Amino acid sequence: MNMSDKKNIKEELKDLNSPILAQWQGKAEEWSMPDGYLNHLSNEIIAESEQPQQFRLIRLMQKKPWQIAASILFLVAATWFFIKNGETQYQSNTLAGLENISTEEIQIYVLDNIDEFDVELLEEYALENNLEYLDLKDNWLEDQLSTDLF
Amino acid sequence: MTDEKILRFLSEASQQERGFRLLVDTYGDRLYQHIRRMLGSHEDADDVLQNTLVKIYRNISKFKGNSQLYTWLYRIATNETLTYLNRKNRRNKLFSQNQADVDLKMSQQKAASEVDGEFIKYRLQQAMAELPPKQKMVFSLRYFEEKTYQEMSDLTGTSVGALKASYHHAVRKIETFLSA
Repeated sequence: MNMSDKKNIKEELKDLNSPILAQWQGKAEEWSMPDGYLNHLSNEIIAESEQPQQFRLIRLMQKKPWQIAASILFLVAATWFFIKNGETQYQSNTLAGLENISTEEIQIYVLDNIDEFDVELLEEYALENNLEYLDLKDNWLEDQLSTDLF
Repeated sequence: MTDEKILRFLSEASQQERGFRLLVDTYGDRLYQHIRRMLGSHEDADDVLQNTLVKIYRNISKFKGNSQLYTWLYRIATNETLTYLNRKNRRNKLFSQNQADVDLKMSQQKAASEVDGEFIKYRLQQAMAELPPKQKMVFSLRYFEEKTYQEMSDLTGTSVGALKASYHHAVRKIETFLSA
């Protein structure tokens, strides 16, 4: 960008009656990265890309404990809800209706809210209760998001 | 010249790793700054940058060359960031409030001293946290990265008029926030 364009940005801010933003424009410090961060990131990605594509787990160790606890609580609450539904006056249609949700809709819901799920717990729960395993292929979401770029 | 070298390495199976490392060395910092400005925390930016770079590594062969390499990288990073923000907005807002509280403490400590680049950075981060994702992106592109509206239009596929309206809206909100 040339000097004329930069001047235009400040002038534009003044025209918008934004003196603070005009004064501060160009003065914010950049964010610092941890030492060796990019090199470490390259190593991780290259190593990950050499693995066979599989179900992509969230990096749980980096999640805050409360997020993991919230995921567990959600699973417990969801389990309680479905059990309770079976014991109440709810018509069997309610539960039967859930069977009409397509696998794709389930995938979309889970991937939209994947950060709230402890994936390992989901897998363990599915195994313990003989539930059908959600076979989410690693590149399914990428295919969905990338059609206009690739 | 560097773009040519990067693409040449990445097109050769035996040089792919070298090409990717060169790409990350060349553009990693700019991508990080772009993502971090929109997300605020290093943890979130790290997640998104990793997703972005994985996608780039796996799909570099699909880069058509009809734009600058960095423009293509930038669009992927922007898409990933917006997806992440939209997903995060549907979650419990407690986390983002905690982040804002941390930043508020920083800005209060700095308030008594001379306004410097660090203080400005954190105050603007607080202000931007109030914006919806796309407005945040538009503001970041114009205010921090000094993109022209035409460059922003090429990046986002949005009309210049819509971008101007979005930016002006964002500016007014942030100025009001900073003036409070």
